[in-house]
Order: sequence, then structure tokens, then C-alpha cells
Amino acid sequence: MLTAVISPLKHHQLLIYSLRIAACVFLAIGSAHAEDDVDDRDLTGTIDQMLSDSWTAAGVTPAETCSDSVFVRRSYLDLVGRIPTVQEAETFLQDGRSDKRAQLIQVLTTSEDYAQHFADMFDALLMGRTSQRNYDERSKHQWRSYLERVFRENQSWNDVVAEILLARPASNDDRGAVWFLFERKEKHQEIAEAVAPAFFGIRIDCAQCHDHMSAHEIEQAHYWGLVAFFNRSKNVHTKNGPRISEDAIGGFSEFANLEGDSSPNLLTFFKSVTIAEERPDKDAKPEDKDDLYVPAGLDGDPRVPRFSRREKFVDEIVSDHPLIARAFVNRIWAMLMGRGIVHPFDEMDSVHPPSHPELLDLLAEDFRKSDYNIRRLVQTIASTKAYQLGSVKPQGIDDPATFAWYLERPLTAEQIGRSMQLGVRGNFDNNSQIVQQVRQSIRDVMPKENVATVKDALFLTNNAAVNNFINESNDKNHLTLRTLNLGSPQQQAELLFQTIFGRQPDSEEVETVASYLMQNQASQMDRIKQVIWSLITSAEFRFNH
Amino acid sequence: MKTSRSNTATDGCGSPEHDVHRRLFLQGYLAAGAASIASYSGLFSVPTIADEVKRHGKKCILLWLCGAPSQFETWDPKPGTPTSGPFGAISTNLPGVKISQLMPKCATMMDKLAVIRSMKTEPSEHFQGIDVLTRGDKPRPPFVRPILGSVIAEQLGQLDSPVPQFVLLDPCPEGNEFKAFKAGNWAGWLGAEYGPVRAGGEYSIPDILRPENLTETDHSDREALRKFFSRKFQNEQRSEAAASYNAAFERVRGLMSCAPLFDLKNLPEDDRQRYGLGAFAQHALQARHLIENGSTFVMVANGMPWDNHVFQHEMHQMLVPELDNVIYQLVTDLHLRGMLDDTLVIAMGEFGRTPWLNEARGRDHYPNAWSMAMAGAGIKGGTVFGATDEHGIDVAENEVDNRRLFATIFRALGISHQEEYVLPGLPTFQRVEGDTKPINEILV
Amino acid sequence: MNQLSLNLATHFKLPTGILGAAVTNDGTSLAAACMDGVYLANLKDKSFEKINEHSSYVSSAEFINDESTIVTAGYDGRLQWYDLSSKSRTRELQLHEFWSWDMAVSPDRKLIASVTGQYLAGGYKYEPAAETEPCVRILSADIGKILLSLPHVPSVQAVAFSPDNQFVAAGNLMGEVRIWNVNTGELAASWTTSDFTSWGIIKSHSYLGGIFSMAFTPDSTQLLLAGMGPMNDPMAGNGRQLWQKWAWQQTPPAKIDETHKDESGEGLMETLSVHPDGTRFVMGGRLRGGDWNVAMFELESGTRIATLKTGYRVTQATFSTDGSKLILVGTQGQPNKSKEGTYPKFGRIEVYDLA
Repeated sequence: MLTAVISPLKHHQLLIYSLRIAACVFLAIGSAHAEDDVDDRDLTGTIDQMLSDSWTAAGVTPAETCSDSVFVRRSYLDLVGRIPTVQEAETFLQDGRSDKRAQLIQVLTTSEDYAQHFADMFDALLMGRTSQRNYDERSKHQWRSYLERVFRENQSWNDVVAEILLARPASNDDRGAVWFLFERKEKHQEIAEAVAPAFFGIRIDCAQCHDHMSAHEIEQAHYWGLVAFFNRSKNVHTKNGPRISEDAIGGFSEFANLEGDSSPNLLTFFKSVTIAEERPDKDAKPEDKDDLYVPAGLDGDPRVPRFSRREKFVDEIVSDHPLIARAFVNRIWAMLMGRGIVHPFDEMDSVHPPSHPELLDLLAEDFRKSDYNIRRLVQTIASTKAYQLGSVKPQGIDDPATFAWYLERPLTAEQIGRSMQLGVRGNFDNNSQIVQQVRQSIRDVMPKENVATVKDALFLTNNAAVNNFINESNDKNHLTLRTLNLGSPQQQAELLFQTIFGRQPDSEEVETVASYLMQNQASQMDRIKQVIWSLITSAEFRFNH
Repeated sequence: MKTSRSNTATDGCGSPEHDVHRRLFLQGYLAAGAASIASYSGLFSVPTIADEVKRHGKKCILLWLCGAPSQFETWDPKPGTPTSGPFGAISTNLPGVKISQLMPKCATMMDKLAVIRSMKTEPSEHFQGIDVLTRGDKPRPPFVRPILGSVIAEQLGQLDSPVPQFVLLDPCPEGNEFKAFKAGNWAGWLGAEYGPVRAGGEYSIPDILRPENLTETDHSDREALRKFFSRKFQNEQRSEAAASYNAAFERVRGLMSCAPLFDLKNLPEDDRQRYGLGAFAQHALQARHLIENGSTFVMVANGMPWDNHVFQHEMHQMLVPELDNVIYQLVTDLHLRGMLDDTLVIAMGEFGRTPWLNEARGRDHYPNAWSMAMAGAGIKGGTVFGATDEHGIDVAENEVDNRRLFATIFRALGISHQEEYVLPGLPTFQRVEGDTKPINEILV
Repeated sequence: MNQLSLNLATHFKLPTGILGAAVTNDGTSLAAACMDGVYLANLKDKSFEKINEHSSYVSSAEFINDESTIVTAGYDGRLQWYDLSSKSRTRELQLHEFWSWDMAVSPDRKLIASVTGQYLAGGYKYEPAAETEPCVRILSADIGKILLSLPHVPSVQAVAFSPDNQFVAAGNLMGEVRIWNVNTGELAASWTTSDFTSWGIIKSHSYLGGIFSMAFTPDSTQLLLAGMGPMNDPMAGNGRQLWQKWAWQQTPPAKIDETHKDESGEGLMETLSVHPDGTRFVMGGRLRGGDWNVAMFELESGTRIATLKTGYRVTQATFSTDGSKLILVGTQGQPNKSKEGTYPKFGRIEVYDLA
């Protein structure tokens, strides 16, 4: 039902929301999740109380709440992956309701752009950046649309994890879920090294050769156990498309530590049970017999072993594993708050203790109770006072883990590409060339540290992608010509700033723009383009704040 | 930013240095695999904390003779013996020392070179050999040792220089095992920022040139505007992220200004003729140019041309004279420009070649007894260290392995080879492992 | 299919690799150009003696003066005349600054041609630099007087006289063939075939290969070239075993034929000789892939009629004057272990009867 309502809103069209109407529509449709008994406002309040207590305890005075004009830009970027249009921002600023921020959060998180933005984020986080060719493959094999649907229909994260890791779609509509494993081309160690941070929020790479040297709880047995769950899996091409088959035999080996002692690769994982499995003698050569398998549920899909390691993994280890919820809430917290309660967000081990352990427990517990309701989690965190604090670091505080101010963060490539289009051309296409080009160069998503590189600066300065994009934005509806047609430099500066930064320029800025534009009337058009470049490459545009 | 270094050979345990090392170590370790030479971005990362450590000012050029040249046709000829090959030996300006007739120019400047004729290493296959001779030792999984250039860029590099500190000049996109090696993690535990910038041939720093449809004036005007708006934001927000971002743009023009350093056409025509017109020689000249203009480590390679399993002599007739001239011109230039005392020039491959010819008129891999040469910073010219037996089959005296060679290189550059890395639960190990001693005989 | 059988009649070894050889008209004596000197071997009783030395590898040997003199060329760039009756070196000449890659004597035994040229980098992609000395020299066989100094591009690796004694052909690294009139020194033809030369893509950006042997057809109108086909990785040595036949007097010279498809394996071919009866030729070299390293072909049709797998690199294949025997010389890999200071012999001589 939700799909039916949302689908007409094509994501590659510019959507200018009318707040009131949109709110009505979306409030009417509700959520895919059954209404649960936990009150969102209580949870938001509890989070704020916990943070407030921690500030008091640390003697920290948090930043003031941000202004509406800051909030509208920030929330659009964080929740729907782009800046607001001038009209969207204006509509929000004119809204007189006392709960207009909550209303906006509600509208944004139930929009198609929300599904697109979160699909972007999770594609980068689960799969990593890749070549355009591989992006096309991800689309073609419906991984992309699968992710979009997860967020559009607000599927239970626990179910999503199970679907992706079992990779046996119940219907061909779900076939995109197999791509997480399929793209990794039977590289079973690589799969294990991806599964651990993607779903459990831990990195096990270094446990390949020895128990983790600082996070002692991560053992070498976990690494090889996780590999073993996947090492009978093979990529196959069926009439239904790519699938992951599984053998009923094989996949037994020993791993050796740095001292040379070897151990069997039992089916186990971090903080979990060891799944019983009969191990054949070393020299035995078990036969692969038909009666070890049952037919697939879907005609044309590969047969399924009676004892399926992937199934065991999903049923007995993944499902409701405490880290699934903790990792997810920590990651969403990091996305919205600029840093995980555990930082880095995908190293939730004993070396990286949470800054607010009770808060993490609370969020994880609530997430489980809500049947892993993603949208509810996003809405809850975005509704906190902490999320809505100003982004200027208050004097005297240095620790970002206090969350006493909104932590500025660089836009992702998709956020840049979409927002550039929106600012310069007034509309956007999620899959436009500029998005693809920026994505190939600016690859970081939620980086551990905000360290800019000269490579990115060179890209933005000299690469044909950005320059051509601005140069070719010559339509009469585009910003360049709209600016050109205005009467005074004052008006021109105002339009440029309002469109790109979502704020009015101050007098100094007006003067700077005006004096540059006035220097040479003949090259006005070119000069406007240079100003546009200078705005979209300035830090104010590059960061969410 | 990673600023730790120690200039003393013996750091006591419990030194705060150790903590920093450990951090360094962990960082590179966790980022393993992420820092191939394709990733050059890091070198220009702009630290949010200023690096205050003073630099030595020493530099290094590695003439990387990938594929492994023959010692018989270079530094250790065996005239009149069954293993000699067709080329003779000539006298040099060091009494009693002869080198291959293919190296007449080096023969006149042996007083500036140190030659080791007693190299003896383990790996006999390229990938492993390259690993050991560029990183200094065998792999010790799961750690990835940084390559020599990364260590030197980290220890001696000028982080505020607009010029890339570690440059790999290699126009050959292929190179068999060297290709595979190039795709690997070069900076190891030091982290990607100490990986090389690759140039040469089709390789160059992306986006280093001003777009053609933009005038110089527009390019600088719009940057001035950008800087104004962006600085204003940085100041009003007291934003560290914006500061780092703006600092990155500050370096754009500097880096663009060094674009000419990467264009062979800008090298003086006389010099180009003098060094020789082949890619290796041209890039060796470019290496000199880069070092003169602020790079710290330049590695010059040309694929894997020395691996002459077939046509050994037919290829060495061309490659060795080119190398001879390149070493001669490079060392002479550095000397005349007063840079030789601060610049170490190393010429070596990953092993040597067999004393005997195979049926395909080639020499095969031979790590048991081979030669290499150095000149410049910290090196005592006019020395020949070690020797092989009559037919060049084994080392006869003063065996030198990769560890000893690296200890010598580090010492020559004033870098401690005994600096320790400490990790909980794992054995401590030094920059150069084992109780390795540099070759004092060839050090100043 | 082998339509011709070759039966091994004699085989023995010389101490070091043999790079070139000549056989007397009676088919009993063989002058061998070896890595360590010049040997005279008796094909009947397999005896041999070292009779002369160069200061580097000896690359070619020929009989002149009614077989009373052996003239040799070497990697020391020298020509030497050795008189068999006085058992002494009667003449020598520093002809080249670099190697003599190949040396030939005209059929009337009056002229000697020797080719040289060091491949040095002349461009970014290692195009060969221009010559610094004439790459081709024509001398009188009797007194070693230089009659002609002819230009070519290094390295010039093969040389041959025409049966009518009128022309000399020289082929180089880049597959360029130049043919001169030996009386006037006039360039009679030149062309380039890229089919024998590799430019390294994989390991090195440089050139390797070229023409390693050549022979005119009996009517002197066509020229046979030998070498191996191009490789992506020249250092693999796995180019196609290749000969080509060119009608060099046409304008421009035209390729008539080349190793037939499916009749070649891989490996460098470095010798090619036409049988005295003028109907067949032999090509030999190294086996890198496939099942032969020496093969006989019909001259007219180009069809392969016999193959051999010798187990060593053949550096020269020649026929006895009466055409009844095929004589092969060559080298195995150099032994890597010495027994009490001496290495096992690795130069190879084989004589086959042509049935």
C-alpha cells in the first residue's frame, strides 16, 4: 500500500513538497510496522535526558539549538540526501506550527528521496565504492532496487540481514538480495571480512592470522568460523538470474596461528554458539549425493543442502544476535550525529568502548522491540534536541563524543551531485552523469576523520566534470541565466546565496560578489559561473553543518 | 599526523615514542590493502595539526632495475672464465677494480661509487624478491611493511612541500610480477599518505592542469572568491573540517605549479640528450629534477626489462650502457650541483642472474651472489665491498643480505635502522629486523 | 606429416656452445665458431681440436682459399684468418667496434660480408639509435681489404650473398632488409617487415627479435628470412617459428609466402639454408612450444616436409655439398655444475642422412 502511494513520486523529478498536503498523505498511510507500544516521544526524551545528564556530569554546556534555516538544510541533507530548494526552505520557514520540525522529519522520512538517500548510504557502507560498470551491474541485478525497497517499505532490518546472508530469495522480486554475496565472487574470506562490519559492526580482518591483538574477544576461530559459513557457497547463473548455490560437503580446513598451532574451522562466530556439524576424517572423501539436498522453493533456483551452513548461520547466529541491533543503531546514530556512540562505528570491540553505554543499550533494545523499525529509529534520533544543536563547537569543549554540538560532516558524492544539480539547474537526477563522476572521485562515506585531500580539491578545481556541468547549465531556468536576468548585483548575490547556501548573503558577501560581477559587464555570464563555482566548492556547501 | 621519528639508534623501552609507533603500526595494519600506488591521495592529505618536526634534508633516488640485471655484465665481470659471457672487463679509476666493458662511464667515476659484490638473498622469484628488496625484508603477515620510499618519505619528507614526496616514475603499465606488486599496498603500516605518486608515460597526477576553457585569470579569480567565502565560513564556524578543506585548496595551486616537473618536455633539451632518450634515462633525469625541486624519494623503473631469460646479451647490450650513462650523469649532476652529499643514489634489482647461460641464450634468476651500487649521501665512494668466487657462483667474502643492505641505506640517510615497533602479544621488532649491523666500510 | 626421413648418423659434443659452423666440400671437416674459440672437428671420427681464439664468443666460421683457410668473426668485432697448413693466424682485422653478429662468404669465395651494430636506445620507446659505425662491411676474402662500408640501422643480425655473387642482403632488429649490388655498393632494394620484431608490452618497452638468418633462392630472385613472430612479452621467447619468402626485385618487394599456418610452433629460428638441389630448405633454432625446432620445407610450395626435435638450440643448419647430409650445430644450456673445475661439454654437432 505504501509503495502504491509513493511510487508516482518519481525520484528523478524534483519534488517540491507542500508540507501540509504531504504531511496529511503520509500521516494517513502510516508505517509498514504495526504500531508498537513504545512511545517515540518518550524515547526521544530519554535520549535527550541521558545526554543532558552526561553534559552535566562532565560540566559541559552544549551549543544552542540551531536556527530553522540551518535545520531545514541539515535535515534535508541528512534525511533525503540533498539540499532543500528555495521554495522548500521557504515553506518550512513560513510554517507557524510549533512542531514543524517534527512534521518535516515525518515528511522527509516517508518520501521517495529518503529511500534513495538511504539506499545510497547503505550501498556504500555494505558494498563499497566501485566502478560505474559495477554500479550498473548492481542496478541490473536489482541490488539497488532491493535496497531502495528496504527503506521505502521500511522492512525489518533483522529480516533484511537474514535475506541478504541467506541469499535464497523467496520470490524473484527479492532477487537483488543475493548481490551482496554474488558480487564478491566466491571470495569467502572477503565475504567474511565484509559481513562482520556490515552487520555486526566489528572488523575481524586482523583475526585471520591470530586472535585480535588488542580486542582479545575477537578470536581467530571467529574469523575462520565466519568464512566456513560461506565456503560451500558458489555463484551460479540460473534462469532466474544470479544465485548462490551451496554444497552439502567440503569446506573443512584447519587454520594455524602465528605460533603454528592449528585448529579446525568450526562453525562459530563472535559471541555466539558453535553449531554442531559432523567433521569427516582428514583423509575421508565424502561423496556428494543427491539425497543430501532438497529442491529449491523457487523453480529454477539451485537445490538446497539439507544441512545448509548459510541457513544455520542465519537462523542460529544472525537472527537476534545482539550485535545486529547494536551495530545498526550505532551506525544510524553515526549517520545523523556525525559519529558513532562507538567510534569508529564499525569497530564495536573492547578497544572502542561506547561513549554512552546506556544510551547504546537503550537504542538497541528499543530497536529490537520495535522489530528493527528503521524509520522509527531515524525519526527518533532526528527529533532529539542533540541532533538539532548548533554546529559551532562551544568554547572549552573538545571531545566530539559528548555530542554537545552538531558535528559537521562532508557531503557524500551523491549528496554533492544531487545538491549541485538542484542548486544550479533546479532539478536533479539521481543517476545523472555528474553524480556518477563525483562518485568516482569523492569516495568517502562517513569517514573516520574529516581530513580533506588535495586530490579532491584538484578534482573540484580542474576536473572537466564540475566545470562542464556549470558551463553547460545554460537553460533559461538554470541559475546562471536567472541570475543574469536580475537587475542589481545585490539581487544577483541574494539569489545565488539563497539557492546554493540556503541563506541570505551578508553585506560583505554582497559587496564581494557585486564588485566581481561589475568589474566586467561584458563577461557577466562567465563571471556568474565563476561565482557559482566558488560557492559550490566552498566549505559551507561541502559540509553539512 | 604521523610525526614520530627518533634519531638515536637505541630507544629505551617505555619511551613515549613506542606508543606513537604502535598507533602507526595499527593504523597501517588495519588499512592493509588500501594503499596501493593507485591511491596517491594520502600524500597530500592536509593535517589538521601542524607537523613541527624538522627534516633532515636528505633525499634518495632508487634506480629500480626491475627484473634483475646480470652482475656479470655490470659490476662483477669474470673475464676469461666459462661464466663470463661475451662482454669483456675494463679497468676503472680504482686501481685493480674492473667492471663490465658495457660501463665505460662508470669506470671513470668509481671513486664516487660504492659497489657491493657480495649480495646474497633468499627469494628467487620476482614477486618475493621485489618485496624483500624494496621493503627490506620478507613479509610478516598480517603486517605489511612499508616500501623503502614510504619509510623515507615519512622520515625525511617535507610535508609542507607542494611537490609530492614519494614519486614512482614508471611508464610501463604491465610488468608481470612487478605489475602485481604495483597493485599492492606500498605504504604498509605507515598509511596511504606515504604511498607514491605515480607518473611517467601515460601516468600523471589527475586534474593537475587548468581546464582548457578557463583562463588563468578566471581560474585564480574564482579561487579567490572561493577562498573568501570558505574562509569566512571556517572562521565563523571555527571549523576544523573547513580548515583542512581550505588548506587542501591552498595546495592546489602549488601542486599545479609543479605540473611542469612532471612534463618531460620541460626538461632542458641538452640534459635530455645527455641522459639518453630511452624512457628510463628520461625519467632518471626527471628524478633529478624532482629531487632538486623538493621531492624526497623518487623511484625510477621501466616495467621489468632486466628479466632476460632469453636474449640476455642482446638485451644487456642496450640496457647496461643506458644504466651506465644514467648513473654517470646523475651522480655527476648531483655532485656538480652540490647535492650529492645529501642525495643517495641506489641502483639495484631484486636479485642477480645465473653464472651459466640457459639454452635460450638467457641468464636465469640468481639470488646467491649478486651486485648492486650506491653513491651519494652517507656513502663512501671508491669502495668495493665483498667479492664472489672465481666463476661468480658464490659469495667469497663479506656476505650482505637484504637486512644489512637496508640497515646501511637507513644509516646513510640518518634514519635509525633499529627503531622498534611494539605490539601487545607479538614479538617486538625493529625497522630492520635481527641484530643487523650496517656496512660501516662503505659508510662515511 | 613428415614426407622425408632424416636419420641421425653422427653426433658428438664440443666443450662450449657452437654459434656457427662451416663444412668442407668432402663433408669430413667442420669449422666451429664456439663461445671459447674456433674448433676444427672431424665428422668421421668425431675428433676435434681448438685451433684459434677470439677475445669473445666466435660467431661465424667459413672456409676460403680452397678450404686451406678458415675465416672467423667474433663478438670482439674482429675477423681472423687461420691457415690450416701452417696452423697459424695469418691475418686479423678489427672490423667493428661491436660484435660481428653474422659473417658470410660469397659463393665464389671472393668476398666476405660481416654485419654489426649495437642496439642502443634512440628514443623514448627504445627505437634503435642510428649507427655510429657502418653496420655492413664487404671485404676481399683474400687480403681482407674493406671494399664497401654500407649503412644500416643497428643491430644488423643477418647477412647473405646471392648465388650469382651479385648481391648482398642484410637484415636487422627492426625487420628492415637492405640489398646492395656488391660491385657498385648501390642499394638495390630495401623494405621492412614488422613480422619478426616485438615491442615489449608486458615486461619492457623495448624492441627484441628481428631477422636472424637469411638465404637467397638459387635463382637469386627471392630472399628467405628467418626469425620468430611478434610477442607481447618478448622475453617469453614464444614467438611463432617463422620464415618468409620475399620477391625482392619487385617494386615494392612482395612477400610470396611464409611458414604455413599450423606448421609452426614457438621459438626463435636463427638459421636457414637452401639445399644444393634447390628444391628444399631447412630452418632451425629453438623449441619453445610445439614439436620441432628444425624443419625442412619445399622451396616452391613452402610445405613442411620433415621435422626434428633435437633437444638443443640449433644455431646453424647446413647441407653437405653433395646434398646427402644435413649438418646441425648448436648449444645446450650451459652446465651449472663443474666436476673438478671442468664443466661438461655443451656444444652439439649432429649429422643426418637425407633418405
